[in-house]
Amino acid sequence: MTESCPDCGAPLFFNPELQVSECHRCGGYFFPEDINAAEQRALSLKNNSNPLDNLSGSASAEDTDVIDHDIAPEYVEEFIESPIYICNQCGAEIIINSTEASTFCLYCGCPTLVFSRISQTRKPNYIIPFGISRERALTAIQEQMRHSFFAPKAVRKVKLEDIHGIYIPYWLTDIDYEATANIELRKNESNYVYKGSKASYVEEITHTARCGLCSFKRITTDASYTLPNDFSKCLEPYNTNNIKPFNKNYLAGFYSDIANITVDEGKEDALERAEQMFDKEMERALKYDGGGKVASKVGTYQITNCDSAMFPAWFVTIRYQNTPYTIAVNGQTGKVNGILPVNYAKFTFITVLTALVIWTVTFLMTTQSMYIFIALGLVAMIGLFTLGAGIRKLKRIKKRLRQAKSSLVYCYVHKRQGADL
Amino acid sequence: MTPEILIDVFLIPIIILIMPFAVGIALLICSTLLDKSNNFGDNAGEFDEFGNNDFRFK
Repeated sequence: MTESCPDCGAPLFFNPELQVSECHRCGGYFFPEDINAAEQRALSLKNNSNPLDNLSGSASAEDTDVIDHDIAPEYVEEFIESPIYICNQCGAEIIINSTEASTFCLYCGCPTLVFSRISQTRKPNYIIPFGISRERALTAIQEQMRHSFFAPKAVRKVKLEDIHGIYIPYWLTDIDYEATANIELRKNESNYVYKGSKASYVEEITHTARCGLCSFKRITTDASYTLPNDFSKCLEPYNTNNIKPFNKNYLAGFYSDIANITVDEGKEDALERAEQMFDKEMERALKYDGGGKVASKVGTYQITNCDSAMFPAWFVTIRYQNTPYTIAVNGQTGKVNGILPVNYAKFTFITVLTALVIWTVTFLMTTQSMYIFIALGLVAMIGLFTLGAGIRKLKRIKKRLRQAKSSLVYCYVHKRQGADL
Repeated sequence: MTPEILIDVFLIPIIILIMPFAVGIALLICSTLLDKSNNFGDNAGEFDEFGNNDFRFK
């Protein structure tokens, strides 16, 4: 799977900082594209040991041409050989493109990885090579963890070492979306209708039809069931303008996940995302174009292209009280995504202390006021509003913590049962 | 009625009314701090951040 150094034969590793493949033994540097070209040249020399055969053997060359023309290029799929490892703990399937055997699962952090098989996986069309090195990713995570005031001390002080680079499979879909929307316009001026002494407010609503077009280029949708969608979405965005044609030399030294979401499922996900983005874009455009709200919409779409790609991410798993917490870093932009366990005792203490201070200050201020009842009414209203907002925020954090802890188990159970996710 | 008399009469309702306010503000401040400190990258990236779409009215 991995390429060997043309000089000494040792395995090559891709260096994200320098964007080259390097040999740890002889210290040689090679551009990933050049290694393939050199390999192909070597292969053609091997196949045509006598260069004169090429000139005289016109019949065999014609035969090859005929065979190639019989198959339409779009149906020719290329495959690459991938060594697949399975985690006995969480059931994740991982491709390891490194010569060193990894012993830890990058999803659950358990040392239960066993070699499963060599698989022929479909060669992706594109790849975004790692641009963030292991050291930079570790520094970014540790910087975040140091500033995590509410994380337990043991977590803040933990020394991270076991970080893995992984290529996540993605679908890149181009969609032309067109929709005619029924726009609702509300008249701003007050419109009172008087019937005798009674006045009633009548709101004037007008409707207008607007047609919008949007061409989406390379909508990214995650092509792996193993990685929860919410998690992969938080790793985005990836800059697909810097994408490169797939070259297996970029994989050297990293893991890669298996694409197990089909192209049709990928297109469905992309379409759903295109619709959401279209609505957002239309609302944004309407704000600058006379206002209004989309009441209903009829849309048509055309999927113009769908490619497969691999995007880089660094993963590290922290275990706290026997629960894994996965933190990931976008391998291209360096964006850190994750949630750390909460020290609830500290959180409660600080909340109670803050509440006591606020209570005392408010009590003193309110009782000094001449308009005590108005002040109290305001305080009660703001109190109810902030209480609701605070509880909502806490619920969101708890939900994300739950997701981080249980989504893998969920995937595992479904995978083991053979159910569709 | 002066504020002093009002306070004497309505002391318990005042204490009770201020309580949700104090707890609410404290909870909002602390949960925002918690969100900022422990939860990072919890925002799905905007697709058009790199200019990959172009919306227009027909």
